[in-house]
Amino acid sequence: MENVIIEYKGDITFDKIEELLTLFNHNILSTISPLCKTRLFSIMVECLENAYRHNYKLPDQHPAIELLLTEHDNSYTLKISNLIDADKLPQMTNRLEQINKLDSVSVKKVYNEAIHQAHISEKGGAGLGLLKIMRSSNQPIKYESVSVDERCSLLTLTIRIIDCQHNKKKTQ
Amino acid sequence: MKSINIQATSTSPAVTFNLAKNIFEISGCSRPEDVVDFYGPIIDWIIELKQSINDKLKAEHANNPLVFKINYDYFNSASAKYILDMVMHINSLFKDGLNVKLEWYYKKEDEDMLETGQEFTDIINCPIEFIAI
Repeated sequence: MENVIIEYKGDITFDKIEELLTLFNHNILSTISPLCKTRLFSIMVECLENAYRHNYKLPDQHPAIELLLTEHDNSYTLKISNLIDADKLPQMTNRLEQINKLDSVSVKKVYNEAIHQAHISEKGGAGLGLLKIMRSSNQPIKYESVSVDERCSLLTLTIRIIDCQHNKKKTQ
Repeated sequence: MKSINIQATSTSPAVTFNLAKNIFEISGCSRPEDVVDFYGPIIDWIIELKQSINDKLKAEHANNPLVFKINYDYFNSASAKYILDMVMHINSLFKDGLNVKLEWYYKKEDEDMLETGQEFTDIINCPIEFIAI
């Protein structure tokens, strides 16, 4: 049976990120191992900050993000969607394609090289978020995009992390 | 030198850098909204200390190292860039002859935090100790 841990659809602000992370700490299953919880928390932060910094704002009531965190058989899946500027979509998908080719050893090497060259952008990111997500999940980042109009597309990232050290004795 | 005293929040760490009391500690979570604004003054403080290194300061700490205690629960990728910069600047104090030591704290179950600290050993000369809590 699939457990829904967090389901959210709405605006994304710095305070909303804090609210969702507090909800994560409250709702997360007690069976999760400390290491997997730390990694999943890190994935949540990078995904939410990425959506916060790069979300394309439409004037209508379209929700800024949709987030769904679920658990099934000690595997956690985070699905997050946000609007992205149509001009920036190819750059993002190219980056995802490159990162998804890396194995767990290469992703650490590339991350350590990238951190030395990183510069903080005007939006406050270091361009390391996707690498950190991949480093934490140890799985490729699935993605799909759907064009909304000529200005933007809806980008959905799906990140899966398997908890190999879960505590079978505890219950929710 | 003027000391730095920053209280921890849910998104930023506590920082105490006090040369007179020989206390250099940073602890907590790090994902501040403006990472440049948060870490800029901390790195400037280390640069100012580097500029004030003289024989007297070296002699004062010859048998009493400046121990930088770094104890993060969590940091985001933007903070990671600044933590690397901070460690490199601390390392430059050591390269300039000041008796400096790093202590990298990590929760015993958090192998990623330990690994991050261990990756510094390839790029710095300053002594670093890993302490599980």
